[in-house]
Amino acid sequence: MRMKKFISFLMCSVLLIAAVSCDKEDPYKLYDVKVKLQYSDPGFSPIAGVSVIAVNINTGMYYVGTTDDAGIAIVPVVAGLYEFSATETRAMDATAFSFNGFKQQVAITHDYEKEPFVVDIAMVGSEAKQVIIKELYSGGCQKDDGSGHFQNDKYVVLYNNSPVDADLKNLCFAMTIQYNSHATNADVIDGKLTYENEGVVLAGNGYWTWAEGHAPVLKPGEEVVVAINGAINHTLTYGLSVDLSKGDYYAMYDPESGYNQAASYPTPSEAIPTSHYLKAYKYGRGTGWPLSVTGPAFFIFMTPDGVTPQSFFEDTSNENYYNNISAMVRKWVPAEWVVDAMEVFSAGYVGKNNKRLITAVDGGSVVLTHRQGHSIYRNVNKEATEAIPENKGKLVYGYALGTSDLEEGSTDPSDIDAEASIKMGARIVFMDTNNSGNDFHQRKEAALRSK
Amino acid sequence: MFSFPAFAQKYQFSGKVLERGTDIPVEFATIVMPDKELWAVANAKGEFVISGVSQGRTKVEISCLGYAPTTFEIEITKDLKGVTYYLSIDDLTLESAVVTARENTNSATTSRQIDRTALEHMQMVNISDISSLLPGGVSANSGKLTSSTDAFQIRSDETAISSFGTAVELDGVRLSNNAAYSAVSGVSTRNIASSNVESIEIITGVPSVEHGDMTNGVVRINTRKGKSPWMVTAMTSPNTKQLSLSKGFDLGSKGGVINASAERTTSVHDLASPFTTYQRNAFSLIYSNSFDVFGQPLRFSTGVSGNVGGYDRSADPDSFMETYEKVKENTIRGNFSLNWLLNKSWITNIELTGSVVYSDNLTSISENKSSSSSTSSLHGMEEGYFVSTPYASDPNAEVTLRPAGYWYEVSYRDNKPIDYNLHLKINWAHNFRGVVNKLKLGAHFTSSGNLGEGLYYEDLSKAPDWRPYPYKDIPFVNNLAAYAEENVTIPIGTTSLNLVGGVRSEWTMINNSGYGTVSSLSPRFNAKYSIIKYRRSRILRELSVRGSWGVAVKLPSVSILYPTPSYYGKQVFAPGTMADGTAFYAYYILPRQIEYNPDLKWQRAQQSEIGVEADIAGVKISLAAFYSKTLDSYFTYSEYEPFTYKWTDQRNLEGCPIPSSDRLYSIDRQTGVVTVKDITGNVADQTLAYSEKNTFTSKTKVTNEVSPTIRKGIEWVIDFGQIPSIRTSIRMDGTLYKYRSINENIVQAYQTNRTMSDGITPYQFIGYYVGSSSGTSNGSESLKLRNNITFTTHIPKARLIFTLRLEGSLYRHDRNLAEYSGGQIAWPMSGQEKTPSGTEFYDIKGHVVKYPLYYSTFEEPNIQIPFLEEYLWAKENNKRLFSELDAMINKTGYTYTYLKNVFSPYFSANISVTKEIGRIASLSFYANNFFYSTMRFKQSASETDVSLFESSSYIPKFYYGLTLRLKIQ
Repeated sequence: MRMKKFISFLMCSVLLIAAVSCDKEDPYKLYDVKVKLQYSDPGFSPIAGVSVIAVNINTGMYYVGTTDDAGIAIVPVVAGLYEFSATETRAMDATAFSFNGFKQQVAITHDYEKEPFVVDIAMVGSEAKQVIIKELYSGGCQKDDGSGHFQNDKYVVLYNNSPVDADLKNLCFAMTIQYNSHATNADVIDGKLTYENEGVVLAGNGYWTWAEGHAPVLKPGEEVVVAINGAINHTLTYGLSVDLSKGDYYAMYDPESGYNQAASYPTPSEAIPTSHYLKAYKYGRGTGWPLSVTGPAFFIFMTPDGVTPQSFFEDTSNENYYNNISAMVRKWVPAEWVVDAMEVFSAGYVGKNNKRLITAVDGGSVVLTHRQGHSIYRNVNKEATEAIPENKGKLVYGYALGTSDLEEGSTDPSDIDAEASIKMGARIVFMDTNNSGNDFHQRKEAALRSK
Repeated sequence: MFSFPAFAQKYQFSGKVLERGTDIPVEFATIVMPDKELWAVANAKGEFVISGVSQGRTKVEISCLGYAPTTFEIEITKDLKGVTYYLSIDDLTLESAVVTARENTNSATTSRQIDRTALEHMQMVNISDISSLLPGGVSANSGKLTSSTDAFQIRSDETAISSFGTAVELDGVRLSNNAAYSAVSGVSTRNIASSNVESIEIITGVPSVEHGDMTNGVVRINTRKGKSPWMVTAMTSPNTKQLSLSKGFDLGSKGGVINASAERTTSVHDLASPFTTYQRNAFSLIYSNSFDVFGQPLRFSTGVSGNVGGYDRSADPDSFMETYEKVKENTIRGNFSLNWLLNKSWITNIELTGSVVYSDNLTSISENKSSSSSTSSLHGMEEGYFVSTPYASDPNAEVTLRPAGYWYEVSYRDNKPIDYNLHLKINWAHNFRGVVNKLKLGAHFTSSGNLGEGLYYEDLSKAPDWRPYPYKDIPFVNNLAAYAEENVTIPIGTTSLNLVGGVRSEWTMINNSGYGTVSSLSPRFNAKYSIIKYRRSRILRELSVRGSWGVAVKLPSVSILYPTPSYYGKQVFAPGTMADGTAFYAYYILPRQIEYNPDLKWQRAQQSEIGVEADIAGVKISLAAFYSKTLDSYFTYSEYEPFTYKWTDQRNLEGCPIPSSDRLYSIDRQTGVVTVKDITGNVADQTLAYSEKNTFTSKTKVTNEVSPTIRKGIEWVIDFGQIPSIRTSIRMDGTLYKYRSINENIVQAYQTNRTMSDGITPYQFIGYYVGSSSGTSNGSESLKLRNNITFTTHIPKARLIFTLRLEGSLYRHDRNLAEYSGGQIAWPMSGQEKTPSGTEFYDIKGHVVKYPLYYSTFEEPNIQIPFLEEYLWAKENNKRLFSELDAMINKTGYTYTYLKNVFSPYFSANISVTKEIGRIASLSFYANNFFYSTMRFKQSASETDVSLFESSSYIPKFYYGLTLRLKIQ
């Protein structure tokens, strides 16, 4: 009797749950969202075959569609809040052009079928540049004694991605304020940067450039390592760190500028010539150049004829304050001055990271898990690299230092191990679509550790 | 001074004090005639005798530990003998039980008393929590002891420094921060046992001249003294546990009483990670007795109390291994008190008290450190250029070199403040034709010093920049005060006028310093006119008005008089880092001498107050309006001087023929020229080239603020009495408080980490600002209206008392100020440009800039150039100078900085209940913010909503506790 009562109760419960469930929408139902890529640059029209990616900002799941001849893609997604992006590269008159488009905070509800709409993405064009950021290592690593992390070993590698020599005169290194991607960003209103359409990026706190008369000239495939902090051999103390003491490296070191914090700026290794010391132009507060450890927006720019890094510094009319906070000074840098840029998002903040670079400069983002010795490394342009006849037999495949096995990790889809191939004498052509999502991946280990 | 006839008739007043209901004699009951400064202590039979009582009407107060005190008036026209007085046991069966602060209606100034019943009902763990019982008080947000920012703040709530002016006395022992090398703030009360307190008196108005070294009120804490059964208290709340034990031992046959108490309180900071703790192990032992000396009673008391415990953040496994922070808060207080009732025609009482308070506040911190390059530690105490030397080579080197690697840095800050007090007070009371005349004369000597070693490191080879500065080498600050006060009560018909006037003079002797001896004078006056004395049959049953004016002086702490010396250390030689991470940097060291300011004045407050007390048909009203002007607040500032040094770096070494591994660097101590020596002897010494850099060095000075700080307000307490049918009384208390402070001192500022527009030359200008060199404001003002309502339900038969307290902030506004009597110092900005646009900026949304009044240059440091004029000129004529001057301009971060920031009202509610279980036990429970308020309120300037749930600084967090008390006969 007791068992009968129990079974009856169980059945009623199941029916009740089923009845209630019938009223709810299926959370896994896919809606075919129509996305249209809009090209405003004269002479460019939509093409077929461009991938459109929709990332659910709550779950991190992503969905892909492909455009037709009219630039329209159907992306099947479940209901949710999305970031849509698209990127493509095309050659025209022997010049590579990249187009990037990005749209944040797009809500797809269960009513989409009843009230469908088209997601328009403005595609912004940009030319590929000679010099690119090959690698940025800013996240630090774990200390040997388990007492925490070490982060004064940041470096950046610039690379001549073109077939002709690249003169880096007047090239400057800069970063944005807001410093951290996951922090609340006063520049973002309704999911959009307030300066998105103003054709500028913002160089926060200060910028660095080469010592007068000592800018390097890079041959095709040549690179230059710049220590952002501590141009010394950190591996003697921190086994998981890097050796930044080598004589051909450059160092951001200019204590007279006001960037003189002892922990961040020990004197560079005596092996590094003083002509390799970079000059800082500081207009913000503090004693260190505060490149984000968690998620920087880093860029290099080159002042045009008639403007020098010095004259750009002296001009106070280009100053601006983040959120009107007087301590957070930044300078407007015209987007056309930008040589390369990278937008790094902090891992663990899906849906909370904010872009700080305008689409014309960088249309995507790459995720970094900091404090683990990971770096952000450039992806190889497989097609272009394999097309160089001299590379035959020198390319090493089976790249194993990607981090796609880690949460929010990524890898180089080309499968080419760039560093191993360079050692074999290959000239690598890296991706340069001005979209960090396409161009970079998170490398398990900073490349300088194996040099 | 009043004269009196030598033949004035004297009478005897004697009787017996018994316990109501049992007729047991109340031994040690104290019988006081405050108008005549006469007193007696009851013997084992409860009997007492006061001789030599002059004729007239006088007040009598009888009190004893464990009994409800009683006060009445008697008319002495002849000997009054053999009268029996009864004292009731102080428990909740009494109709008169009070769980709020009681107004001291006898005083001519604002004073309140909080008795044991209220203290137990409130269940404080930190004595400073009782500030919430003052008019408009806010419940403390602690319930735990792990925060060190606990101090009484009376009629002020802006900064910690205002708590520095509040005097705290524990059984007559002044607790002081004068000798402690810590932040200039009020004395911390977390090491005082909270379970053994009998009563607390808080004087918020102008106090008697016998109280010195204070500007913001006096708090007098009295512990239990007298015969009592064993009392056991156990308290628990989420973060805090307390267990205490106390007893008053009767030593029998005139042996006196010993009160002994012990309390252990442990508090954890965070329930989720209970490894940051505070422990209080407090104890006290007090002996008291009275004797007949030459036929006159002498009351004697001596005691010792203290605490062994402190703060500990060492065991948290989330922290890395051997890292910790421990703060000892061990203290011992010894005191004695002699009160001899001479009762002569020329002297009534003589009272001598003395105390010593010694604390051992040792802070030890262990931190894990590491570096991939060598680092330099500056230890030199004399001027000159010095190169880093490995500690092993020369432990006494001015600059030592710590190699790269991992190490623990273990530091100790040994703070052992000690304060001596000796106080002699003479009373003379006389009643002449109804005029009560009391004269008080006193002398007060205090001495404050510190026996600690100051800051030091366990291992100097791993220490950062450090120089010894033992606190024990600093001279004691001695202070001698003398005072006289006349207190006259004149009957005028059915009314009476009480006038109190006194003056206190202090001489502060500061040995071995530029200060020498500093004197100050504090006159104080109080008057109270009792217009209507208690008349039960009338609507207006009682009415009195009072007024006060006075000056109070706060002595400086030793940390103000003898600030820790500082040293300027500038890196002057930066060779490249060697392969092993070593870099032999050199530094220029410049000691910054302590700059004694011979013109330094002691911070003082001018206070005035008027008050009204009335009883209108049983509704008791107390109103007080106060005005306090704090003058000569202590102010620390910097002055800059041009300084040129020689700079040598790796650029100057690049041609050096000596291999790096064979180099020995030396630097000329006077000239700063670097020489490289070849340790193999193969290459001759190499003298390096250098460049000269112009910059500024600073020195710190202490002075007084030139502008006063104004605090004024109105306080009210309205006691509506009890509604008999529901046995519930309603009490409303509140405050309207206004604060305004402007700093008009001219301060210098140097942009340390900036360059001129060439990006290389160190910044060459010094800015002279009004009040502050950072930000744009040099002051602030606020207005706060707070009102609390307390519902108290008291059921004597059930031995139960229940309280519901609603605390409300009805209005509040804050505003930043930028004002200067010498002219305008801040202007509204024109767009992004930092040039002025108009003159008005208050209550206008937009950015505001503040310019220095003038600036000086490295080349001409004594020429002050008007800033704004030069800046506007440079804008049109010299773009380079314009951008360089631009760096000295301060700009508001927000567009609403100068809007009046109005807070919308917000509220919270607390409940407390105490239930006695017979005479042996009582149980109390409280829940603060028991609604768990999630209310939001608005701040008008930023137009933001603030959640009371998320922000803990406005109302207390939801918190509760339970206390069990046992009396074991």
